[in-house]
Amino acid sequence: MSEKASKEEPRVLVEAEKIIQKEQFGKGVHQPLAQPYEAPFGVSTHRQRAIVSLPDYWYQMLASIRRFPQIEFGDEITEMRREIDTLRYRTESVEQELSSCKQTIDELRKEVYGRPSTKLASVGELCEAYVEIVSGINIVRQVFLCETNNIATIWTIIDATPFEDSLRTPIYDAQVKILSTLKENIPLDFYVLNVSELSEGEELKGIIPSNAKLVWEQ
Amino acid sequence: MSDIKFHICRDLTFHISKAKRNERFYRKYDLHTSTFNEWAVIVLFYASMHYVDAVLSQDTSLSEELRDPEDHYTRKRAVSQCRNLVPIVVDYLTLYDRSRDARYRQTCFPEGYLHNLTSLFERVQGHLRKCLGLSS
Repeated sequence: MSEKASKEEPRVLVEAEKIIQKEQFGKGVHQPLAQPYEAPFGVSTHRQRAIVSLPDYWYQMLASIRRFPQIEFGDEITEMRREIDTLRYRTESVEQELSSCKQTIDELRKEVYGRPSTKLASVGELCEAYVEIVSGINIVRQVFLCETNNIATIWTIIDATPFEDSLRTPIYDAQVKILSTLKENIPLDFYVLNVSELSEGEELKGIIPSNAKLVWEQ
Repeated sequence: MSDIKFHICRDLTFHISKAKRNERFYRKYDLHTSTFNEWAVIVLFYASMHYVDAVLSQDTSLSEELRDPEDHYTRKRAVSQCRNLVPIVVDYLTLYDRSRDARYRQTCFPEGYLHNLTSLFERVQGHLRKCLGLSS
């Protein structure tokens, strides 16, 4: 690169070239480039990118940038350093503010959005809450939790007069209680099975999925 | 095989039309007196489900996901959270469980039971049609 070209060129490009040189020839070794890298004539840019090494690719980029009007490239290094310092300062002040903050996430959310965050509940917690209610219903015998990849199903096994649906009402009320509190879409389903309604040859263990976990028993 | 799930957002007219079609099918083939009365249970459930979806689609207080549920568990959550559906939520859950009995088990529904379930359906249907401003 000639003395004249180097003087006219923005510092950022000179710095970039130095970095590429280090990359190609080893740290600390400065080998001046005779000419800015030029793409071989007749070879498309796309094709060159596919075959050139990484430093060559950056030389090519540098050459492309040098072809832009110089006015668009001011000496930005000082400007960038100033930006970095400002960002560093801002990060530090945010860190300080967070460490001195005594509010909980819920309180902060309420302050920002005017409402508390939705309570995230796990399937296990929901199942526990459900069992707490249905364990007091006299026809309920067992509660199983069956979890697959897509969905968790709570099986409620009852022993009651066959096809007397009104007896199930408190169980469905418990399900509604759980479902109505869900704010997020947890894939949770319920199923009530009456052992008194099993057909001849039907067995409970053949109906309940083998991976179902017994969570409560009377 | 692709895991992509397609969900077509359906409107009020679609749900009412599907519900009516299920009802007509139920009546036309006297499903409640049929030997294969498990199909009566399934048809009654799906008729109610479409009426429920029609009501949900009109409830602007619900999230988009609950207004157009794409699976049964989301629908159950929507039913539990929709004010208009409070009076029939237990009936809907009964129909849901009974349709599961009909689909996945060897349950033999006694004829008298089908009569009761039809009355339950009529209660659900009457309430939902009223919500939708339809004549009963």
